[in-house]
Amino acid sequence: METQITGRRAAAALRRREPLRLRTELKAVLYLVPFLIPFAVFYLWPVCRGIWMSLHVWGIRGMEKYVGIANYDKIFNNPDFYVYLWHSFYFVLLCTPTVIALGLILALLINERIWFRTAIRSAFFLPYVLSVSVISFIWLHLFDAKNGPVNALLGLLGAGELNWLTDRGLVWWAITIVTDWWTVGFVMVLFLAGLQEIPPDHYEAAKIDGAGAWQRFRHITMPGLSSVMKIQIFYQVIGSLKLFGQVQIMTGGGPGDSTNTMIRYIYVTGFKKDMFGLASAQSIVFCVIMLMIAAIQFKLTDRKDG
Amino acid sequence: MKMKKKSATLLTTGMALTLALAGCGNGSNNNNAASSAPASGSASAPASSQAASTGNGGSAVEITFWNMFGGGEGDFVDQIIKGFNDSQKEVVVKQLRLESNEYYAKLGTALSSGKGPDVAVAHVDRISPFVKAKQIVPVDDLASKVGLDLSQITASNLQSVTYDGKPYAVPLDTHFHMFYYNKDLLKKADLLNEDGTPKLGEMTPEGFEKTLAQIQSKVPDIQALAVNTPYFQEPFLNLYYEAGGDILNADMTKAAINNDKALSVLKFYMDVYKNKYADLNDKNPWDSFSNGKAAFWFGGVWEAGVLLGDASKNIGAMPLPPIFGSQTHWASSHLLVVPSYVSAEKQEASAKFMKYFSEVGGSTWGKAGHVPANANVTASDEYKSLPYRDQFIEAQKTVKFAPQTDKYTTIVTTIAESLQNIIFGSESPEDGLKDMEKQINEVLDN
Repeated sequence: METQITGRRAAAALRRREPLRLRTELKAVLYLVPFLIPFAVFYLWPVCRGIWMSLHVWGIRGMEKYVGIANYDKIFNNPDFYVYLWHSFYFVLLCTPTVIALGLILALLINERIWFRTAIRSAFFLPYVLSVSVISFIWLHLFDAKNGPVNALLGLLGAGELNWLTDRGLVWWAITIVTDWWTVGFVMVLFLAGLQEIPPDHYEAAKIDGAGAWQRFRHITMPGLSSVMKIQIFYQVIGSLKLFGQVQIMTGGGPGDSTNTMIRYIYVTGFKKDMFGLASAQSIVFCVIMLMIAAIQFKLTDRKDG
Repeated sequence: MKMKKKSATLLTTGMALTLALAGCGNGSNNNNAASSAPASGSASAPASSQAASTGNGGSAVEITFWNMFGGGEGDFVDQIIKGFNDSQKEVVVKQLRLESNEYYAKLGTALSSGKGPDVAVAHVDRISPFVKAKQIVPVDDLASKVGLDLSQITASNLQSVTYDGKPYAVPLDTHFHMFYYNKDLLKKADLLNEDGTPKLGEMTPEGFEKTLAQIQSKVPDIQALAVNTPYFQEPFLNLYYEAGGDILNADMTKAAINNDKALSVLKFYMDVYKNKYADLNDKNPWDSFSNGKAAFWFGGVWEAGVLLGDASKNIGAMPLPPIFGSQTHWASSHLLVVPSYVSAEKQEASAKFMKYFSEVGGSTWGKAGHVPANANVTASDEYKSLPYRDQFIEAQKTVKFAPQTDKYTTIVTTIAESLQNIIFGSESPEDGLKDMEKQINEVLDN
């Protein structure tokens, strides 16, 4: 009975408010249009077209024939797919923790009152503004086994010749070093912003209570950074999964296929082997996997917030 | 208050619009950059042809010429185009130079959408799909219209562009690999004859390895043979063709690569790597050889300018030695093709340009290293006076072009990938070849 009444009352209230709500909704849509149109034209439409392509044999000359889900069948029956998918995830495991740890350490250092703060901050941020091809070519030369500065430096320390880009054991580390160097500036800047939002009086109070540096970091800094941290992890996981340029330029997926990632696999299938239908299907599968990961991450971080 | 709110709304709307417009502009800019080729090709052609025709008294036909040549090769093409434009007043050639990595994606798009070049460069192993889709025209009638005698073209080149008895392109050149050798290093290894040619010993895989071993023992700090590891399919195909192998069977329905010949070639190279005659980790073997860090190199004829042009390098060239029996070796060829959508008038104009490129431009093109397809050019004294060109012509006689299948790009990429897995030890040669066979058959069945 009670629920019925409240239900009816709510319905009445809703009806009364309807014209107003419709107007606000319309207004919202109107404001969104400038975003929605380019989004639909440049993003949604290509995605839909990709789905359509993925159901066909599609060569350089365009559509050849409709094959239904045969392309998807082919993907899941090819052991290469799982290998390259693992490579993409392996890179996430290598790169995300290292770049976040480094970024945090740099941010903490720069947040202190040290000399040449701005200069140091700019120096670390500088690589981030370069394009992936530039940084890849720089490190391609730095890592050169015979004439590269990295090996020359290590040689002074007594190390032998290291084949950074053609040794299975080293190549992932080489790619990780490059990517960390490239993106750590951005991670650092976000953490710096986070650090500056933590009120200094918290630290003062903790100091008065006799908390040590580690305790202050553990109980004030870390919780204060948690929201920034979540965003960082999210960005880095997605960014690492999209690894392409560095391996394409520096290793060509090699030695063998040991640094071939999902994105490079899709690129080779489409643009090198002219199998655009199969490549579209691969992109769709990978896109779904990435969306699932994003959804899981959102879920996890949401729960912590609540 | 109300006023203020209104202006705030206006402001936000304005900002949103600006952002959207900026975004839009960006999007279409990117779009242009990515596919500038067809767009600018078609858009600029009419506009500038008007300009050209007014400049030339209204008679000149302007044609758009697409190519992918960069660097040194590009300079020679510029010279040829300039020479053609200056030599007559009927046709003006405008070129559009595209990034070589994306060239075929763009040319393919242009051909299927019917907007793009009036004449274009293509590699011989790439035209099958275009011929099959009737996107390029046969050139025999065009050639006779403008007086280009196709019998001047070397027979093997003409054969390579012939489908159902009709030539679909004008071959410009043949390019392949030569056996380059560093005379200084060979002298140190006691392997140089009086006349400056190398002493190569017995022509078998074992015999050649013995030669390499001698270089290694006498000149230890260098590679005896620089192997093109990053593009390993090239050195592989050269020796595999020498051994008498084929990628596909005769009617091009099945892979024919999983056999003892391929296996013995792979085992030879693995041996060369294992014994350190070649460095598997060398990512720039062409530089290693050019800088005197390797004694032998299977290098492209297009490297002739760099390697043979500088006398201080003391490098010589000869046809690839018949290590695996025959002298047959891999080759490709640059062609000029005319798309089907081009109007009759422009087709004829394009044919005039092709005639010039073949007959006159050929000698310029020969300087780039490629062996010109026009036999009159290769017979000329001007061409023969270039260093080692007699050797080039000799090597040209035993070339083998890619099978005429429209799946060749896919097949050769598959081969390249599997070979990388084999030489870097992810797969045994036996498994790798089996895998290659399976993948190629899948591609052919599609």
